[in-house]
Amino acid sequence: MATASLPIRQEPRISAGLPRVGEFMRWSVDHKIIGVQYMVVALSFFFIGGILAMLMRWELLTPDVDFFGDGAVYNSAMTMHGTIMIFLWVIPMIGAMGNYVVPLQIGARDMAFPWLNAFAFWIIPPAGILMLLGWLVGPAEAGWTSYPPLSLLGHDGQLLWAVSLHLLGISSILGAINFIVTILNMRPEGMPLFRMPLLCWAVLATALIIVLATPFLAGALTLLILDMVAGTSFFIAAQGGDVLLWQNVFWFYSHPAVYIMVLPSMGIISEVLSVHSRKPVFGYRMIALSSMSIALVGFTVWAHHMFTSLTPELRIPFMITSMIIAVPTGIKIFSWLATIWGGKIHFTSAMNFALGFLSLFLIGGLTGVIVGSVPVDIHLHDTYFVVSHFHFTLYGGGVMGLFAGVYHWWPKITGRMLNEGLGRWHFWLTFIGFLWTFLPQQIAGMMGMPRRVATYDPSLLIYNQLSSLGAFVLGASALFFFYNLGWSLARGRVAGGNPWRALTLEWATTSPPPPLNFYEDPVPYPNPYGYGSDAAREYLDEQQRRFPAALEAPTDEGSTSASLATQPAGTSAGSSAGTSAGQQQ
Amino acid sequence: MNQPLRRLLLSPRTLFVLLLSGIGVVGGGYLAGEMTPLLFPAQASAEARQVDDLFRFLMIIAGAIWFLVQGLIVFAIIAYRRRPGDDADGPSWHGNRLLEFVWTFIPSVIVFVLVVFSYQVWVDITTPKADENQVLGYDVVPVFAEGQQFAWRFTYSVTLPDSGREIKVVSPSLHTFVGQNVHLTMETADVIHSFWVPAFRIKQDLLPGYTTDVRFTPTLATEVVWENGEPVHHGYPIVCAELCGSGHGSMRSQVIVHATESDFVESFLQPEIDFIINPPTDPVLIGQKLLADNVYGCASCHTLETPHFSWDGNQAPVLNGIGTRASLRIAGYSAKDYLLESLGNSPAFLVPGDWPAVMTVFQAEDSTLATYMPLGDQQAIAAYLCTVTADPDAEPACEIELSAPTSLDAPEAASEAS
Repeated sequence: MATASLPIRQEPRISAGLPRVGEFMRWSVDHKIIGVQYMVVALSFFFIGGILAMLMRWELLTPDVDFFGDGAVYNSAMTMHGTIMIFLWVIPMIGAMGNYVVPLQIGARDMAFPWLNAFAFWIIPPAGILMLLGWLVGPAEAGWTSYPPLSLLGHDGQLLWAVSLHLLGISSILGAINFIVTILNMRPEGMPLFRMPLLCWAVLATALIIVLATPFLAGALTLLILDMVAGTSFFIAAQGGDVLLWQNVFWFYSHPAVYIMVLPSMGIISEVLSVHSRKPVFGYRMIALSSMSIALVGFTVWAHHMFTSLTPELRIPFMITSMIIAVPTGIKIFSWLATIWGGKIHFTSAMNFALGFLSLFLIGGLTGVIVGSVPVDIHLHDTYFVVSHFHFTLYGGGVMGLFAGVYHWWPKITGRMLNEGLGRWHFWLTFIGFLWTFLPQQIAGMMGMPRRVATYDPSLLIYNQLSSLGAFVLGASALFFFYNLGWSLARGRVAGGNPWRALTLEWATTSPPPPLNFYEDPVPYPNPYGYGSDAAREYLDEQQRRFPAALEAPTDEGSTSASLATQPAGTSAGSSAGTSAGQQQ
Repeated sequence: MNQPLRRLLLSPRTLFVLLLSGIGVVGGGYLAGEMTPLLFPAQASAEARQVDDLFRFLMIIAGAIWFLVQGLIVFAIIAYRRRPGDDADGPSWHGNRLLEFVWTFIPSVIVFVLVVFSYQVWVDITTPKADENQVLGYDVVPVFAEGQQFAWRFTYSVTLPDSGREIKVVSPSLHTFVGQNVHLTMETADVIHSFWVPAFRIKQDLLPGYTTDVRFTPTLATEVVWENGEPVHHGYPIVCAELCGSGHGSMRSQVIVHATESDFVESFLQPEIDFIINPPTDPVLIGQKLLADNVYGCASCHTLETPHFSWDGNQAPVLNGIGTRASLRIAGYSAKDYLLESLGNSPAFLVPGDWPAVMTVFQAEDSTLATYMPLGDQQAIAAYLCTVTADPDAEPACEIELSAPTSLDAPEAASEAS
């Protein structure tokens, strides 16, 4: 193992300072500003989508349509909840994480195409607003899957929905091209692909999926729009069209989109579990390769969304591919388990969410195998069991991972720590509220409750009331999160360059980093997860001397480095007081 | 693996703990599998039994994996939590080929087993069976299901054994009997629907432009309660599982499984056939029958509460007392004119209020279109609605004579209308 690679005896540097608020409101080609812009937009839509979910659960407290007054209104809420959460929360949030962290992790000054990066972002706000404007002209009501012919019978809002999704798809593709080029070409010397942080692997796999799959969404949407406005009949059976055409092409994008939403979170989890348990990632190569194989196999499973509509003979092949994908997913879960095994687990909020990811995604994966089996899925397809299953993967997996990422990198982004006490509240309310919401839904689905209904059989009342109560807890948990973000900006402790003592390059600079990220050409530590070696400790000690949280601490050099070496800062609100960073509270 | 670790792994205490955990994992999985009957509605078909067995097997595997992995997670976060004051890093383990092989290989084997088992069940439940749709005394009686926003309709094609005449028996609920091998063909009149009977564990989409089908064999009769000498069936719910519009959640019906074949014939099929062979001449009775069969899907949108009906649709105007109100709606229109015009040319009058559904514009000219409603049917339904007065004991608000054949007179027309 090579020794510390940072040039020795550089002057200590404190935060470069956050850009002014105005910087975030206008066109900027700085990947860090764009990353924050993505995050702010994504969080805003997370809030809107969450409100819609609360309203839907309020409606479902009773078996009859009462709160919304009409099934159509419920359908519009349900459609917008799904579309917003997928296309305007999770995917832009991945843009946020990827944009902010990836160039830093590979020691780049910016993304490969900064202007394109800004352009990809600035498509999103107008597209989102266009989607919301649907409510003024009669909203989309056909679900986020918008199967024709139902979607062709909808209001004008359905057209806005399609155009908006088209724009979001363009944004996705442009962003993904940028990630691929950046990751493949802009790594520094000393960072071959298999020494790259796992988040970069995950983002690379995700970007490849986006570039290959999203054009199919664009194609399907184009046909749908033509059917709506140009008198074509691609999906109109009476005029020679085929409704299954939409389902095939739509899911050819939308199943890989599931991996688009969850792979980056898997990358985040790999980072967080290793750093916060102070142990190298176990089976680095297998985790990296399993991301790639998930990306690849993910393209062959789309029709398992069509087990009740697809020609029966074709169902079995898609069952086989769908089940196979459980294997690389299992490899990841066991590798993560081995990563924390024998470590020194710091129960930071980031770590709590990463561990929560493991527990919840495990259930998402196991229920996925269950619905992957054709005969069982025949019963469970389009029921609340499926609703529960995909929330376990996309919320319990994807969103828990994104929360872990926010708690992990927020200090880098803002230069300030989040409140660990509020973070714990956020975690436990999310974790308990999540299980409380989605476990009863599984039973409701098995007992006979179809999805996308505003009214249901009164015998299913108890499961729905339980689920709704859980959902309100889950909704409340998000308030702790938003409050925590505000609290941190106003009163958060100064983070310093590397509060978690992590080895990847984004921590080898101030928090937040200066424009163009680094003060001199960054030299990566040979192993991004080489914890547990003396060389790593020396490297981190030197880094902490160079990018401290404050300048006041050093009295004599020996004691400073000793105290920094023994105190990974910010392990919790309480234990962090001893670090030099802690005095900034 | 280093020496101390190896010694630890082989110590009697460790082996005991491993054994105990193994029993816990397997036992947990078994318990999870045994929960199966609690999680499903009644098991009422041959297919349900096979699907439930497969599900139980999946639950045992998934449950065991869950206990194993979740147990390891809990163990790890307790055993490997950072102790206060401990700021060292963990050991520098980077991987282990053997372990990684094991957790790639074993899941692959499990997946293989699940695929094989699932495939066997799939073949079993979809293979055409002998004697499909056989009914005592009538040979084969094919059943056809049609979905439309937001109603189900089932048509039995009966060939009368003596005369060879073909008649269509239409019913809003599906009737069958224990042990009948049902083969249901299905089409949709508008958007995609999905035919789901949770008690049978079967589901199949109805796709525009396609005729799809589904097979099942009921094994458990539905409950019959006698009220005022009339049998009231509590059938298994039929649920629409594919979003089909504003009334998707209320697009329900039921499967009535008669205990025996003769019961099915005597209490369902024969009376329906008799009604068609010797139709009543009273237009009110014909209208009532058309509405009861839900031939035109009225029940899913309208509310109608009479001694014969209890519709609770909330998509379209309430029909209670319509006979009384009909003459008051539009100046110059009698109740009779108003009702006839509403059926034959529904956009003519729009009832105030924000009703989500727009009524199908029926026409009596082209019997090949889905919107076909013979003039006789329009008159018969209007005649029945004349009797739906605000005061149940009042005289009918109007009387309408039939001037054209109804679909009950001409079964061919009825089949084309559906």
